[in-house]
Amino acid sequence: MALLSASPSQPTQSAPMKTSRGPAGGPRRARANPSLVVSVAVVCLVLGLGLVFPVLQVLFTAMSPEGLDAVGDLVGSPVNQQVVVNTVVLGLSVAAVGLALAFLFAFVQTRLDVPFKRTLHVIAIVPVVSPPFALATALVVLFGRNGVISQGIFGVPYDIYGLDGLTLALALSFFPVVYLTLLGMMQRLDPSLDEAATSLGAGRGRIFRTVTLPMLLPGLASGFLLLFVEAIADLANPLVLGGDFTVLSARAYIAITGDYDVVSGAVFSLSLLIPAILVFLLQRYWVDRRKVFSVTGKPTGRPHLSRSAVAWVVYALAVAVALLIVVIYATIVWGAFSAVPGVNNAFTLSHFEFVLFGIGSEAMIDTTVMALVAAPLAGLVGVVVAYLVVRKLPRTGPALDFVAMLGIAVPGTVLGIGFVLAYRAENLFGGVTVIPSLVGGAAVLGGSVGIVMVLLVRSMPAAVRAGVSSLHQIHPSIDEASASLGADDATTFRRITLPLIRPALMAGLTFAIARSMTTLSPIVFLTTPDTKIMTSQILAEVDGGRFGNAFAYCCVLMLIVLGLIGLVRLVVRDRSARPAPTIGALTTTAAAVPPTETPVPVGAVPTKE
Amino acid sequence: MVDRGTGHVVLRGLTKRYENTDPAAPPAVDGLDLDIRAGEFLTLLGPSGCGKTTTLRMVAGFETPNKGAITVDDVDMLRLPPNKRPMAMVFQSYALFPHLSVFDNVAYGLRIDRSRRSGLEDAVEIALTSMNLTGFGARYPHQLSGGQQQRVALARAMVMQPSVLLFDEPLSNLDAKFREQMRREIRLLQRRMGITSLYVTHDQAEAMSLSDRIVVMNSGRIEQVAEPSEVYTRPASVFVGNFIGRASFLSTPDARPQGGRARIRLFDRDIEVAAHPDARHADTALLMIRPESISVTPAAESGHGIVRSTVYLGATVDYEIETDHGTVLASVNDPDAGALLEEGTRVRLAVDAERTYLLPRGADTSTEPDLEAVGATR
Repeated sequence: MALLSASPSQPTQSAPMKTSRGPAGGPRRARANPSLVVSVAVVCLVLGLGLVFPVLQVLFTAMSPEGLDAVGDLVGSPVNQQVVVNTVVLGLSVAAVGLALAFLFAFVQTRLDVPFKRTLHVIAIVPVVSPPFALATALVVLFGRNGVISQGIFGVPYDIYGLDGLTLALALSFFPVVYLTLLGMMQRLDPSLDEAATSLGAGRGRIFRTVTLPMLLPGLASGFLLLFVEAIADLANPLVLGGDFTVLSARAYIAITGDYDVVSGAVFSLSLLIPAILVFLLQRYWVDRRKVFSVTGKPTGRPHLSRSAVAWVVYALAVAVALLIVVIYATIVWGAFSAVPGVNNAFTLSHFEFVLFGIGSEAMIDTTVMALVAAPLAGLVGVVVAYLVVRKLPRTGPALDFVAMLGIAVPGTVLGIGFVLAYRAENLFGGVTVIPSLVGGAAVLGGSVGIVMVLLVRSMPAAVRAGVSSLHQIHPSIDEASASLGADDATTFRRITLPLIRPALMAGLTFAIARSMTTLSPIVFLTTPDTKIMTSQILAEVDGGRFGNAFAYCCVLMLIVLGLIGLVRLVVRDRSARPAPTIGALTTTAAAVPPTETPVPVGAVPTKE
Repeated sequence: MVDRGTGHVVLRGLTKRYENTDPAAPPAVDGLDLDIRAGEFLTLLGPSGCGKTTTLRMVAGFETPNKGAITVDDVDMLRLPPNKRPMAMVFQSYALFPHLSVFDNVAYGLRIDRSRRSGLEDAVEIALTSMNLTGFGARYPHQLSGGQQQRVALARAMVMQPSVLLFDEPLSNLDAKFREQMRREIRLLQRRMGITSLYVTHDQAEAMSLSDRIVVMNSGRIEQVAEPSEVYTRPASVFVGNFIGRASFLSTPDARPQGGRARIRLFDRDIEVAAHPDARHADTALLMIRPESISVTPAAESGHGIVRSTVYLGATVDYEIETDHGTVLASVNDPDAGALLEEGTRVRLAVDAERTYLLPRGADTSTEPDLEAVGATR
């Protein structure tokens, strides 16, 4: 990596009389330092090729004459209007339900004195590692037209396809991230604020309304926005559970894979991109600025834990949801061993045979290899971006941070279509092939380069966020001390910075692996006969009604993810007594949500202020 | 740390103006000229925002001056990045590397300099021993107390045997008691090793006890460079007199300054006091009186003033006394706790003429810090 290469230290300007040089007040001046130049160049190349260029291609295509026709079609046709309305309705309902679930679980954890809280916590974050389709498919088996529960137990011919099923599947899939953010916020609320309000005569309900809720408002708002964006960008669930309820992402997918109409695909995905970017901007420049920080020294006292009748009702609700999650995951495992899940429950190993030794094994290996290539790159590039943003580029840093975070804000469908547009043909410049074809049948290495690029860009934001927040906790004087003892920038980065932000790097890496293994929407546009990806294989199985195979895939995928995460933790084990990255640190970085700061600052331990 | 010189530091016309600050405001550091002798312990002292830390950081290389020159033993420092300068810095936050053991922290700089890798263990052990840290090598910073962490930070800088040691308020995070002890240790160690030291603090007691010379700074400029005793007894300005120790400043319109002396009629006595060369006119001069150089006796009838407040501190008692010349602060040593003067008591005053000093009023008396500014009058 660029920053790791030893660089000769540059003598600074020889003329001391020159005025105004370098950013004043910044931790360190960014001089024409070779390792800095190289690392900035690498980062710009990665973001430019992997993100900016493809997204611009989507824009240009939509703005072309044919694109504008398609836009007219989108605006004019009642069918497409309905698709847009559906998408917004779905986004809003998922956001509302998901936020309610997240708050319910966070509330139970922090405010109730009830048993099995730890178990509830673990159950609530299980969906984080689940592959797409797992939930949706299990819901079909349980509550579909021939549902094991709906038809089998209650005898109701319930039809889960449509808005209701989608809302449930999406809310259950995405609420854990919001739950962890809210949990972190609620744990950090200073109980003395409650005590102060009590001593001023406020009752429980009033305190909750006037003190607790306002402090949580930014977290609730950003959770709502996150859920909205995830819901409208998701592709897997609408394909399985959508039924007649068509949304934009599915429409774009069908336009490209069914009608081979890339232009319409671009237009549909662009109409996804606009709200996604708006929400991202809103989040970044409005919600984040409204954070209430109540940290005034150490929080004292413990919050009052309620055991009232209302508390038990709330608890019962949470337990019911937890049970639903358990049943769903049990269905996945049980379904993987059933001949035809929900219909013929005879025990069989044929599905696993198919996945492990049949066609699936190829997909399994391809997926794992590509994730293992992309994840460390994402972790490393992400940390380098974070280092540049926090330490080296006080002025251009925020812009770089913004572009890097777009990797998660841009819906996967948009990125995938962007890659198709940008890299299906070779890119020529002056008659010379600058970038060979990366997508489609003629792509280099069977399209794996393009896939790895997408995985890299998608996984990097988490590493950037983790890196930025952990770098902010390292006192700049730590870097200065290193320089004062004779270390140049590269040495300081290698010997001081990297070891100190290793927990963040770890969190970024773990998340990148999980994300790379389970991502679907950009990848599904990029797979070729030569590269098989498990998630798109699952799609094929679900499409073909072979749920058993799909469940087996899901099980294997989850095991691989968990195994890899365990392996990473084992290899990069924390030797000293510093706190290891918690599952919270891991998953709160999962999206555009600002990660909860780890409470223990690294470095500059004894500052009393 | 290339070859170690003797550590003669010269600053010439050093100026730093931060970007994004009001162009009309004075620069953070404004044309600073300073010579630090080889082996000297020099302290930059001043209120926050006076430019002392900026100066130190420019010497260290963490800030780049807009104008001026910095040389160490005639080598231009501005051409060198921080890591190539023959200096080591001790930070206010200690800045120990939390992931490295005490031993590795101290060895860090030695390992970077290839020529010093041989004998590294011995050098580290000696440094640890000299800081009373024997046996702590395997511990990690978070397992140490604040004082121990500060010793590690010192050992880490000392072991480099730099030409110049830089200290950025290193004791301000320590408890008061421990601070005094560390003060003594730093002084002893610096004397023994003879390393030129530049020390930044806003704590006057620290400056007085550690320094060979003190540089008092205000608004980016030097107010005075002198030995501690001179700074205290013969401050160059009202600002210095006010910042170092406590003092009352009285207007004495009948003063007759001439040739470094002045005759003044004060509290019914004619006294002759030393006068600052610039204190040429009585109406633009102020008489500085330290609270310990004024004696207070209760008066039956007239007296020179009335006690306005009495603050008993155990070892001393402070009286604030209203007089015709303004409010005077008097501090009486070893007071009889049973016989303190009550507020409203009329008192007679007598000042020790040798310990008072006539100062020019100066233009910037308004910027004086209110830290210790008790009894300053206008």
